[in-house]
Amino acid sequence: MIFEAKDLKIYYKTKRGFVKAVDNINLTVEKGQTVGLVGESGCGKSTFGQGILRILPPSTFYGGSMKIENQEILGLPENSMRKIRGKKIGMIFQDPMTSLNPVMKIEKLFFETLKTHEPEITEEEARDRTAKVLEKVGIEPERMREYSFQFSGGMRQRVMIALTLVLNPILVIADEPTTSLDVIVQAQIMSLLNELRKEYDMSMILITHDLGVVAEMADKICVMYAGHIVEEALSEDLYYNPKHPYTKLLIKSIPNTNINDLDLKYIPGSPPDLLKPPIGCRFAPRCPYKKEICETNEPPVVKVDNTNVKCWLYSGVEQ
Amino acid sequence: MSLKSYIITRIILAIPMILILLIMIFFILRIIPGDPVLAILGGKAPVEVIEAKRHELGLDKPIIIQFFDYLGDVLRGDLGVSTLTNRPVWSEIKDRFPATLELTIFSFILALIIGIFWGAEAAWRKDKPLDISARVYSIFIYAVPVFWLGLMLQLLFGIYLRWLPVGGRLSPRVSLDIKTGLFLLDSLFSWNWEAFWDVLKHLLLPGITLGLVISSIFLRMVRNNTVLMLSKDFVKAAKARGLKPKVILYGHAVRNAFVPIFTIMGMQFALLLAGAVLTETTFSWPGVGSYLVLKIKYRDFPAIQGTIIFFAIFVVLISIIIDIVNALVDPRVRY
Repeated sequence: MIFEAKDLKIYYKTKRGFVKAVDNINLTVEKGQTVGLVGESGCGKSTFGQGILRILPPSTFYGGSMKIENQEILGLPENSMRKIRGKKIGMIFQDPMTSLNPVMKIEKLFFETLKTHEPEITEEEARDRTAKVLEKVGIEPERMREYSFQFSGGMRQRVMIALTLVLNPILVIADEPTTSLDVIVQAQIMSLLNELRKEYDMSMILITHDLGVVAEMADKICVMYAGHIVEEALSEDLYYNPKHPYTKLLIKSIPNTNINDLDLKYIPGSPPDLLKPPIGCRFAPRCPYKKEICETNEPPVVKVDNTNVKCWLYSGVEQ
Repeated sequence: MSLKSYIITRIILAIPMILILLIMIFFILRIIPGDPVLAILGGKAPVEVIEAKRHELGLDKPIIIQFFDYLGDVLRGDLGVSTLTNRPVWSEIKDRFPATLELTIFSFILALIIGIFWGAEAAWRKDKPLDISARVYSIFIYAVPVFWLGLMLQLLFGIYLRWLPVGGRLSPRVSLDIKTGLFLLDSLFSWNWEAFWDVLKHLLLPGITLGLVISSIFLRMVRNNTVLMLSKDFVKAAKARGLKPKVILYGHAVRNAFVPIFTIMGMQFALLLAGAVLTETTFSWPGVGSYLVLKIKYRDFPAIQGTIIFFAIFVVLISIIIDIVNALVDPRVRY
């Protein structure tokens, strides 16, 4: 097992109380696996991604347990945590336009990253490795002397990927890596990411709100809603046989090209306020299959077929 | 546009600006009350003597003729002769300028050190005591008049504690070979430690006064811009790569924070000179600032006009230099 989160809680401290952005999440990533994390904006998926690296504001509260290669990282002091960031767990950010420092040459970004984790590395060696990894992502090594603003959006994301790969981490968190790119570039970046993941023998957590993207890439998909993982299933199972009402509605709402079905489907209502989430099931206020118990008791996670689902509808068919 | 043609354009654009400034200062001086002849000779001089002096200075000619005479002289590079001392204005300014330069450079370096380090650390610890104290400090110092701050420092360190002299650049008993006019450098190059120590002691109070005043604005700019930069995605990405806090703060956040700071620093520099005028007067520092105040008192028209033009050209040159530095700091800047 590469990564394991157990009862993970990440709460933001605000003046009005704790925002429970991630609440009792359980997630495992096996070696070589790509896990998709899907959910709408504000469901806590990016908080989870950045929480793994513990780069959220210092006032953030963490609870539960988080392990990388069986090493507990939640209680780790800052300076030990720094050795894990980049080196063991790499992160690719959403917006390549703003994630690269505009006043630094590309090579400088690579050199300082390498130097931080491998202090004895020589300039020549660093240049070599930078050139190699840039070539892998399809950028001419000579361009390392340029600045990020001289690259297009897709090229910048390639640089960002290279910058993550250069340390050869065991786990990469890709936080909506293609959201800010156009559709064709999206596809290129995704297939590049997939190839390199195999080549570098990494595991990946792919955070996205795009079910289409995640379907092609992920072995396993976790659907997040209001700080909870409501369904965890293999990709095909999730698509062809969704269990949780939220997942069902989410899949139905994917726009299609059927001429007889031009209505845009959506889920009525909006996600709950995470300062005061509903006591029972967090999806209950929007759920068409709601029962009485859903509003008063938090549903347990039950295993149905091969799917883990957090819903009262299945509590009777527990195996 | 290349940097070279940009600089040439800037210089050409400065010419009408200086001309307008010259026209304004020339006529304002002649409109405001006060007569240079009376200021030199005193109110009790006989009428014939006053008229003779007025004729000698050319002040009996029509004002328009006076202006074009003066303009012609300035274009030939001649700033005229001081009505008070009969010495050429240019050589008087030239003699006093190194003192101003030494004071402003010292103050500027002090302000840079305070501004960058306190500003950066305050931004890193936003809303913590170090940050709150930085904000209180910068508001307080900014609100305090320069001369009052100078007087208080004089009172404390000069009068009560008797640690430092309250005025001048050099004690009369100390001798020093003057080459550059920057006394710190002169004493350093001639290995004259006694003079170096004496010069430093004289420089300390006016330098700290002016330095603190500039540091208040500077600290605020660095702190606010660094706070802004620390919230940027590239800082988060740098953290995610495991970079050390010092590298993130100074290598990424502060460095980027300087991009907007540089663009306003040109304007800040004019403020620095205004502060220098007041500081020099408070500490009887023999620079161009105290020279200007003295000449205003005696209505020495050519000297006042000459000094103003000199300051204007100086500010233009500094702002061009800042633009060039800005292009070096921020590779996105193209002219």
